[in-house]
Amino acid sequence: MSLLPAAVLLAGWSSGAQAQPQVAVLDNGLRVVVERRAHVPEVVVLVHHDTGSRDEAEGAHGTTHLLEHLLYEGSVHAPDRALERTVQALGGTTNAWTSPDELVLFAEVPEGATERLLYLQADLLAGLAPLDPADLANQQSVVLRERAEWSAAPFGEEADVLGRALWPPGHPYHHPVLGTRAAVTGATDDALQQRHLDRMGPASTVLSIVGDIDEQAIFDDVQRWFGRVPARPPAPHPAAPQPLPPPAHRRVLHPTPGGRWALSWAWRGPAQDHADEPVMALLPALLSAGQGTPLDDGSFALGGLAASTASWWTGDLGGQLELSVTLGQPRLPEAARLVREVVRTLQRAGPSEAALRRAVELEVHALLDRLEDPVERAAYRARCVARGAAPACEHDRVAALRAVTPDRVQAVAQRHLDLDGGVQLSLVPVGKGGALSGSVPVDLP
Amino acid sequence: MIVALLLTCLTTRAAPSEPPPVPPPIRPTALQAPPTVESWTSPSGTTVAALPVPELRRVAVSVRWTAGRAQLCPTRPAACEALLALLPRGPSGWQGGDWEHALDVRGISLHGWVGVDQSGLEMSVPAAHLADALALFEEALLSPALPRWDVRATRRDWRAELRREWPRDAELLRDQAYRSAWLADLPSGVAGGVGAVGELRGLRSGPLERAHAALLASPAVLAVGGGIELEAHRAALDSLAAVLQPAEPGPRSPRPVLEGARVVAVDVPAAQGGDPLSAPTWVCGARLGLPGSPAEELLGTVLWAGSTGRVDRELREERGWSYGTESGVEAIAGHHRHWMQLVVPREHVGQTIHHVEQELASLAREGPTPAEAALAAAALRRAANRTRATPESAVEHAISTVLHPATTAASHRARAEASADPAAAIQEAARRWTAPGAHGLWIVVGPRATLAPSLDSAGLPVEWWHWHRGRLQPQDTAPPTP
Repeated sequence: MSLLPAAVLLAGWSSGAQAQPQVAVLDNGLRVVVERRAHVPEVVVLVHHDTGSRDEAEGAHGTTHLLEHLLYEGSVHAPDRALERTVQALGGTTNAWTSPDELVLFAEVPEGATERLLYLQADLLAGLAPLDPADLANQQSVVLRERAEWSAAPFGEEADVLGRALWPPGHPYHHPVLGTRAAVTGATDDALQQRHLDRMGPASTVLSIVGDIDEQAIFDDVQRWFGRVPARPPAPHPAAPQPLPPPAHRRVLHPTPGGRWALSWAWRGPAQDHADEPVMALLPALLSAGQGTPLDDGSFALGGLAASTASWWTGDLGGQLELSVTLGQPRLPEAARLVREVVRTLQRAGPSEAALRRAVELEVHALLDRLEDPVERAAYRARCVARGAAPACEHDRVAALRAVTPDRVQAVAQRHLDLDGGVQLSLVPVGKGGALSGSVPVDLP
Repeated sequence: MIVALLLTCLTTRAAPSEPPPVPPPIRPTALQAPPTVESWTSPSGTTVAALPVPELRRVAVSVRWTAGRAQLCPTRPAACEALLALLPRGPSGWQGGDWEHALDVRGISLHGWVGVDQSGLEMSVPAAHLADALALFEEALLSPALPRWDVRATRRDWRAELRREWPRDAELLRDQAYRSAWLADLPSGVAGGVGAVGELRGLRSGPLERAHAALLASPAVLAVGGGIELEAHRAALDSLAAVLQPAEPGPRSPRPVLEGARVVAVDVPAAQGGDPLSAPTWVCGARLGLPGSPAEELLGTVLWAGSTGRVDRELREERGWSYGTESGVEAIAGHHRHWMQLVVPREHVGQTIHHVEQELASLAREGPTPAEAALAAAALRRAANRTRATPESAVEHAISTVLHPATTAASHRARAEASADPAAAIQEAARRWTAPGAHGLWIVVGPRATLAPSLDSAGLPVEWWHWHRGRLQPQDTAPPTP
């Protein structure tokens, strides 16, 4: 096991009571990052796997998320939901999530149980318990019920529809994380076990520990339990089609429960390590952060029930910017004109210095606030290490955000927000009209 | 040897080369004594309470008034709601978006809220900007601009909620249904929400200014928690406390409650498309409890908190009906409301309610299993040990030591006792919740035509309500639901 140099402490970031994160790499390739925060006698043990829905083959969409649920069924030497039962018996919490690029499982427990958690997580990394057919069927049912809940919510399917419209078939981001009913119900124990072996081994995993710990003792415990897990070479990620074709349809529509309409105009954008990405990340705060921001001011001027939102998401293969206006009446052409005008103004003139500074500080504070939550902090540390960055990479992130200038914003808006491109999604109440003319229906599988 | 090699190559499941040793022991968690809150009386007579947690980046500042809708705006709750929503929007004398800019560049967030008998203005700020933030906080509190843009935006948003043919947010409906059912003795609208559409039309600056004056004249306590260096800001805190009226600790005012368990079902038309029977349907249940009762917290854990609660084990893991249960405790009008909610297919709504009631009755008769009792006690200890986890939890603890000192002290002793014998505490609480006349309320939202057959199996009386003219009202007969 090798220890990497500790992150440099920048003045003003931390109180004197906080230590800096430290990183190690085991011989089997597992990367470990630990950070002491001792104001509460608890510890978060988080396991980050470099796999997600992006790695699913055709016909297997949704199996990563199903696998996330099945992790709780147990491991070879700790079956019968041992991890969950242990955490609950301690009064702790445990949860997991799946995205296109990652699968994460964490547990937050009193500090006296840390080593037991390491033992359980290490055994899980080594191998899943054979699945009881009834347990598999039950979790398939739970996953489908989760899917049904999302679909029943107003605008609940918006993200999935946009994914299918923006990213071409065959692209890892084309299909939704929750997948298809057929793939979920057709998943077998053997296929899921193989998936776990191929893509969730030590070399594609980061172990992140934050809380009331002794750093040296914790590294000893990690070596004791995780050092036993055999190395497994990770399977490569499927490649994204290159070059990326434009979206097949510029205007699409989808019915949604509830009584409101929405226009979402979305564009593909740069991946998370691209030089333009910090600028893209500032666009939501620049355009839709309350009074004084153009999209919100414009939607308010539309009157009625109009309201607006903006969001930016990025992953290993690209990002997605979405500007949305929701309305109580079918006035989507007006909403589209509003978005067009807001973007055009940004492309012509860029933001003012004051507006940019406000957006930057909103983003910086939002980031630093997220890091106050121990689970978010552990996840962030894991992502930093997974990308090959320093474990406290928020320092670089803040510096990158504060280096953005109005001219750069203008240039990035011109480069990535093609007003003749992207996808305009019309969300209309079930049974009603009002979509933009020429919109093509998008069905979800 | 060749055969052995072949078998090795065919193996697809990795396993350690030897069994791991015995799992390491777990050191038990002790119930920590609550952290010490420093409090003093400011020169104006108002109490200031502080719980510094140096490890935290942010500081939470809270003014808590011991007055809410019932005291401040009994006939016009929308005015109180609007006032507390608009206080954070900035004081008079600031131009355009300058106020938002001043908050955003310092990372300050302001939030106001009003409840039935309490209200609050709360701020969160990075410790580095606390001095500026306290000055801004005081300015917003004393001289709200109540800007026209924001009043219009507030009216717009609330009008949208009240006028929707089918309210989009089922959670809003559940909340309103619960409050309307339980707090029916209070003046209309005081129970919760923003009142009626007619009240919004009259929402102008006059009623807001009167509500503001009433608020400033009400007793309050000032509390701060998180990464604050107390001595550096003591004078600024005294200055802020000087504009508040002193509050006295005292007993919570009792409220009459509706007796007996029953189901309130809100009839709303189904969304078009999909299978009406299996459509996801929210089911929400609640019981009223005693303030600061650890026994009832333990009971909630065993019954419906998390995946090891009885509800999740049966309805999620065994039957696959639900994605999961949410639950919590809310302080309201002198009581603690223990609630749970989950989504099940419409056809199983009645069975879900029946199952939970049966489990509660079982806990009253037989108590929990030893494993359940131990788990609940561990959760109780963990929750008690997290007072310093966030600035907000630190502030809440500081406030409770001032407003409810007897309850707070007794609560720690009660926690220690309940933690020592959780099984007895759980059974006692279950007997209280199932005693004749004990309050129990279920809320279900969905089309009457498809819900009614399922609710027959709930085993409880069902009352039908519907959304009519901007408020929830009892429904006498079944309307022609599409």
